[in-house]
Amino acid sequence: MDILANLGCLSKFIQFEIWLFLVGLMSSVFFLLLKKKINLSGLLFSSTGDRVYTPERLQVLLLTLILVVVYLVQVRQNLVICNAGGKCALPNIRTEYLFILGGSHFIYLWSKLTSVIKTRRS
Amino acid sequence: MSSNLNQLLPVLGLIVGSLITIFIAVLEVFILVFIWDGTWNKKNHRGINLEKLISESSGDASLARFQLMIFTFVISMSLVLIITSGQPPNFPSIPDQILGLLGISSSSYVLGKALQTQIKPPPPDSSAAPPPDPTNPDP
Repeated sequence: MDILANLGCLSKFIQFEIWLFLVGLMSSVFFLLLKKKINLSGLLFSSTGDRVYTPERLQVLLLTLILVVVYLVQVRQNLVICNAGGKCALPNIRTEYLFILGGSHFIYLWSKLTSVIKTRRS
Repeated sequence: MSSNLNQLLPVLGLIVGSLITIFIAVLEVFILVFIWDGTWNKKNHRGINLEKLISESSGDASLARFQLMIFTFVISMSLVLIITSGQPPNFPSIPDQILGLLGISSSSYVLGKALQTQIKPPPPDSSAAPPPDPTNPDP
């Protein structure tokens, strides 16, 4: 019985440890991003030839942030169900969102391809 | 003999599990300390420097790497949340859509990288003869 109680404590400690590490890692990376210790320059600029601002990159970035918010809202809903005694599962992302993400990446890659072709021709 | 072994096995499991947990916990603390040390004090040239975590070889930040980093953090965090919320904790199945999301992001990164290599100038041919020196009259 004692051993079972100790195994339960160990399980709790492992959960706490993983949670702490992930939160520490994420907060470290985001703090370093905010403090500009991690390089973010040129994120929205074309990397081929002329370094100009490209709206294709902006739309990919915005769509990423929107998808993250949508996904986190779904995770929260699933957690409520899980805590109420329901099934604990990762949320399903709607296929439409995947198509939108794929289209967004297609636009980004297409602009990159045309830029590469222009650079090679010049 | 077998009853003694049956009593010993859970104790052994507890000891080995505790040791592995402590080892991983120490490793995690070291990783976080090295990240802070390496990124914050660049002059030390030690630790883990994350300055170019999402940078290309050209020095510019890469949007695809940034996106992959965000997706990885969000999905790993939600996975841990879902695992620890269950009573008892259990590993959920990963939906195909999440794998598709990560796949789209990764493949876009690979394609972008492949396109970018197309505009790099070819390396100079070392086997070719060097140009003649105009100051030296001898061939």
